[in-house]
Amino acid sequence: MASDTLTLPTEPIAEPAPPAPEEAAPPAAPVAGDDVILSVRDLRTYFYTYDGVVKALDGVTFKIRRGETTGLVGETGCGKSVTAFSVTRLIADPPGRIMGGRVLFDGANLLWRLETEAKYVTKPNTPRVKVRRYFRRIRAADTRMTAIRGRRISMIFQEPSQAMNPVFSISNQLGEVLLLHRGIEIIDSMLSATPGNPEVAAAIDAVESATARRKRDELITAAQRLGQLTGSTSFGAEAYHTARAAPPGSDDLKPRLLRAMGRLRLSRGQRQYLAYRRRVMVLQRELSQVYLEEMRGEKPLNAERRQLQRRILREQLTHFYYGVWGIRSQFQRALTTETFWRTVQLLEGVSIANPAQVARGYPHELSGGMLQRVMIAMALSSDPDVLIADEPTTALDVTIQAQILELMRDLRQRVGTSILLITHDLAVIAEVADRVCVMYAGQIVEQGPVADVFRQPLHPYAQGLLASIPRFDQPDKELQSIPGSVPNLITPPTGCRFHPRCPHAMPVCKGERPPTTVEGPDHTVACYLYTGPVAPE
Amino acid sequence: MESETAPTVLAVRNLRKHFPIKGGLLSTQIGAVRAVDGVSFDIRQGETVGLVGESGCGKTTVGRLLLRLIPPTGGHTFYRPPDDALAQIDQLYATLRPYANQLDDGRRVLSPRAKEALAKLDVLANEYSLYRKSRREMHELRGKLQIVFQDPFSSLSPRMLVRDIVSEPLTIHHSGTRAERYRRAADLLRQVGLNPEHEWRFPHEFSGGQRQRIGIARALALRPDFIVLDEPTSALDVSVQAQILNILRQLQVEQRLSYLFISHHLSVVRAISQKVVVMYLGRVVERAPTDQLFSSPMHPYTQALLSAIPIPDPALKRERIVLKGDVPSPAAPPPGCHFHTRCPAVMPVCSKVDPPLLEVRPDHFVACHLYPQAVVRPAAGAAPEGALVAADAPEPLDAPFVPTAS
Amino acid sequence: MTALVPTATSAPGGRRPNPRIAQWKRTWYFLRGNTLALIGLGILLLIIFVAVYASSTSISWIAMTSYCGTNQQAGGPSTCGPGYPAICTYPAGNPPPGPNCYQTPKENPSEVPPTWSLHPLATGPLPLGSLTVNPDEQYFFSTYQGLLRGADWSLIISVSVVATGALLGLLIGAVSGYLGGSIDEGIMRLVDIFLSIPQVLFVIIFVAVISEVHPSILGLSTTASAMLELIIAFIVTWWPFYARVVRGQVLVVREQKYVEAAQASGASRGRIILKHIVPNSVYPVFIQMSLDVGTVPLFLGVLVFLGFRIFPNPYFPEWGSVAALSVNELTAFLQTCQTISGCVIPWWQLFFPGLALFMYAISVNFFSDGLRDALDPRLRR
Repeated sequence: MASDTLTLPTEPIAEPAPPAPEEAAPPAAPVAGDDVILSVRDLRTYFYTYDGVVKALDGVTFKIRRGETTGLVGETGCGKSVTAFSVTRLIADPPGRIMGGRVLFDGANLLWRLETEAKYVTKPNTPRVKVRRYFRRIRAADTRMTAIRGRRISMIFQEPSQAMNPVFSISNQLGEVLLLHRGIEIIDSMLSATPGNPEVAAAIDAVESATARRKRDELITAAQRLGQLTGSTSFGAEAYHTARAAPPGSDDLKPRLLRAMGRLRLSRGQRQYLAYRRRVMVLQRELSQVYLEEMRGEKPLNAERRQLQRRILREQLTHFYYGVWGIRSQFQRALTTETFWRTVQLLEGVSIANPAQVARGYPHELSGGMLQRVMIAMALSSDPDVLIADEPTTALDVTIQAQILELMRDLRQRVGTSILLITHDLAVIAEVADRVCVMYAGQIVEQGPVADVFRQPLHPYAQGLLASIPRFDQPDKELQSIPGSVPNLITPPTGCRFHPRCPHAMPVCKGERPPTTVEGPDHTVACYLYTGPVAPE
Repeated sequence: MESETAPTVLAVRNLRKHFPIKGGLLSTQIGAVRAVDGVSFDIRQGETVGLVGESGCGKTTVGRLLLRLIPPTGGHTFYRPPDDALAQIDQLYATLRPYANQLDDGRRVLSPRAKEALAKLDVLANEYSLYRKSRREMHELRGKLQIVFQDPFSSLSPRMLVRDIVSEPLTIHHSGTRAERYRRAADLLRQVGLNPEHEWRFPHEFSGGQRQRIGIARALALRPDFIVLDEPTSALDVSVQAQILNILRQLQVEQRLSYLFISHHLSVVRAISQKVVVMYLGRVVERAPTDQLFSSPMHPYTQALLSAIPIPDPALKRERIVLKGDVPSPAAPPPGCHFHTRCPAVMPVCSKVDPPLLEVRPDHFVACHLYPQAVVRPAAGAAPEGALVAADAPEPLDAPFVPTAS
Repeated sequence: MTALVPTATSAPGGRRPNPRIAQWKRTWYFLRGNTLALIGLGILLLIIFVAVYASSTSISWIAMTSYCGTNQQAGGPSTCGPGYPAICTYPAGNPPPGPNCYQTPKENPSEVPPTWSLHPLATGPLPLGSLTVNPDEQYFFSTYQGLLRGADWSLIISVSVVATGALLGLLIGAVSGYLGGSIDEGIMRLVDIFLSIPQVLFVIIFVAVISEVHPSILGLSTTASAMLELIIAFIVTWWPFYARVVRGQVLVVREQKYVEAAQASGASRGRIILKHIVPNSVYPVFIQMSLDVGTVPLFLGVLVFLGFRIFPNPYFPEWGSVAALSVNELTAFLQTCQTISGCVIPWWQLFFPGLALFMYAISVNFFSDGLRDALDPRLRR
């Protein structure tokens, strides 16, 4: 067993489909004025229920910079998940409503035309409020957000086993997402493949000899060269994995590879189908650009939008026969295989051993840790600007959590996506995040670089949180709990929402909400105990 | 410490639970999931024993076996055995250890010595073992052995008022009149820090921490000796967790309770337990007093567990042992030492021979081929096949594990 | 998102609010907002009102025209009450002795077939059948009267069949699902056996045999005992559906931790089933019940249409049977109306009972849908 040198390398065999952007600087201390990609200002979200209005978020302000990992930490009920869903506008519309605020993503106002979506009527003598929703406008806003969700902002959730459809294979689900976001590049590479290159035969021989001699590094190089020559990196990956999976001593590797290469030679019908798909994808991409422009300029672009929608419809109608399953399946085979091998590359990128086997399998065959990796792969397949991770490791065991956190750190170095990590586990934040925002009852009470906040927490709530965590390396530490419990958000405390539980409460805390003041380099806190300069919005 | 001389509440010996896997045409048994495969430890009065391990290691099953909520496949749990009886039991097990293979096979051709030992063990088991008690006796004991569950959302019946939930154990045992029972329920709620006027509400109106307190109140209703705490704080936030742990400690001191604290959060276990038992795939891999386990963990799995815990201090940089791969399925555990497929210190012998649980330092038991020699005596309970014989002084151990500040 | 539910942090100042009343108030609030449910509730209440009134007053307070008939020759002694014009019957083949006399079939002289009708809702005789069992006293009724008197029978039959069947199925399903093992297997095989009994045949045979052997059980009158036999026959074939559905839900509920907690406290199996399993497994039963309540009267109509005399009297005023029997009359009319002028096909005899059945079924459906939505804890409101 130990002599088998064909175990999987930790580096992916070829570059996964999304090329890494240029240098994502591992941030030590983010300088003010760094590139801000997502800016949330004074976000308010209320839920209108039978028992009254739940003021879940009441003026949340924070920023996410490029390449930085921001932690959003707080306990159950503080509104951190609601914040994430408000940013992507996934709040369940009855009963929730985003009330106001400004969410700027890459210059686009995601809350454009929010005020036109509903009217509110308070009823006397009851805590209930009647909400009159204009569903057409809400749906329009939702359609606009499809340009952002999944493409520019991705999310992964807590329970990976519930996030995947159990009746479809992993490659099917991953491939669907990949095709949606990267379809144009995939089809372009398929159309420009060069299987007729005369040096290909020699490359295949090289692969075969490397396999026979069980030399892993040679095999990797040979497979990469094969990929280069055929103009298709996914074929390189296919060759590598086929060679790896071949039983030792079999001599049919070369004919198998030659047969597999057949998929690179596209017939005329296939080319036409691929060209059609590409056209539709280009139009859809232009449409999402239009949505983005609408939100950026805060001006409706009805003419362009309708024109693009009409063109898409026309394409689909004139090629209606591609909608017939029998016809489509003829032409789609090459695309499906190509997508399959690209998903294998993606899975390699998240350090899954046996990616080909996993890709062919189904969600119920994988453990929680592996499924979470698949989810991360899915989320990163579109090379988003922001990845929102909502309690990604809470449902996993400690050793698996360590693996996933390692993966996230590794990806941060390699890919450079900004991550918004939502969790209630401060230790996870300490491991992975650069900045942390501490939330309590719908308000951000403290924000700052992780080292500063942990070493010297300013807000009494943050202090209480850190004091109540048991530390196995500090056994004599007394576990201090914060007295009381999380307030009822229908009738929250006035002023600072923490004042009923705060050991340092003063009469002024009951009055107005404390302003957010700057207390250190990029370290802000909302508490009357501190008298620094008020933070600029 | 006082707990060393306190009477033993529960003595678990060689506990096994195998779940059959049915298959084939007539649903015959084709295999077994060895959820618990030979677990032994003691719990004394007033003591908290922490049981740690990851999902699939069988710790939840052990909790249920201790309460006889599910029947065991083998082994015994002795309830309140006097010290001399317990010593006798351990001696009998030691006598039977060489015959472990024959006993497992069910062969009845045994030497007279083994038969005599078995007979004596039988007598003692009939007297003290929970699994030999009659239904009546067990019913009476139910109040003494209680459990608090992990999920505060599904552990309280959603259609019952809180006062009914907390007084239900009293109703089952017909203690007192209705009014008395409700009065005691209010009293219990006060003990766990809840306002007794909350008894008129339904569980779904409470937060997770409050529900967990209701669960604890219910467990206390019949004045138990021993409570199994099955991950009681895993579903709760940190500050609420601190509240619950403080209440549990307070109740333990007030009412001389013993706890079996099942968890996969080692930091929490350290805060509340006096002894820790580490399980992996149904077997005990390490067992030691808490301070010893955390300051010098010996089994590679324990070391990996400890290094995997994230610490809420960004200034600390640690050398992390990241284990490769996933936990194998308990239906097809790897041969020999179950951990050898992921072990960073694996040796050829590990895939062939099961390491026995040996006392490598005083009161510190490890089951690993890295430590083949016991210092005092082998652990209680029948050793698996291929047991190595105890010898004399141990070899010098590895340096203790301490997170270093950067 | 569990934090959105208000947590019980503030003590309810002093008095003890009854939480169950608060729950019903909340349910009513949601029902109020659901228009369809209100419509269903309204129709249901109307039907119940009609049933109660029509059955409590044996002669309806609305001026109806009822005729009392005898089986004897014209001029024979009449046992009718005051104010009821008598009709008579005469054997087939003879000329009608009087204006209100009707032919009886030779084979079964106690049966009086319906006759022509020219003015549907006026005071003319529209004999559809009898309101009693006694062949010597036969009251004939119009469609209108049949609707009114039929309401209570349809309600009684459907509600008692469904309620008892559901209860029986609930208990058996809960016991089977909770105990598991060979008991579960045995009971499920029993359920399979019952499910494979053809409902139509069983009801017919059961009622026929029992009513022959014991015309009056439990000391009830023949009508009541015949209806009881009918209801029992239905229940026997209806409960297995509920047992199946409940068992599925029980398999989920018994894995919940509160069941385990009750076991840990030493609760007996019976107590666990009654107090923990059953209240949490009734949800799917409601769905099935609301569908069945409309199905039962339809089923009865099917039986009567096929010609089976399961009622004590062939022209029993029950919606299903009224609708079914009117088909015969309609076919007869269709033939003769081709020759006779001014003849109106009595479409209303089929339409209105059918409409009544439809309204009944659909109002129960709407209302139970609305009730289910109002009670569902998962819908966030």
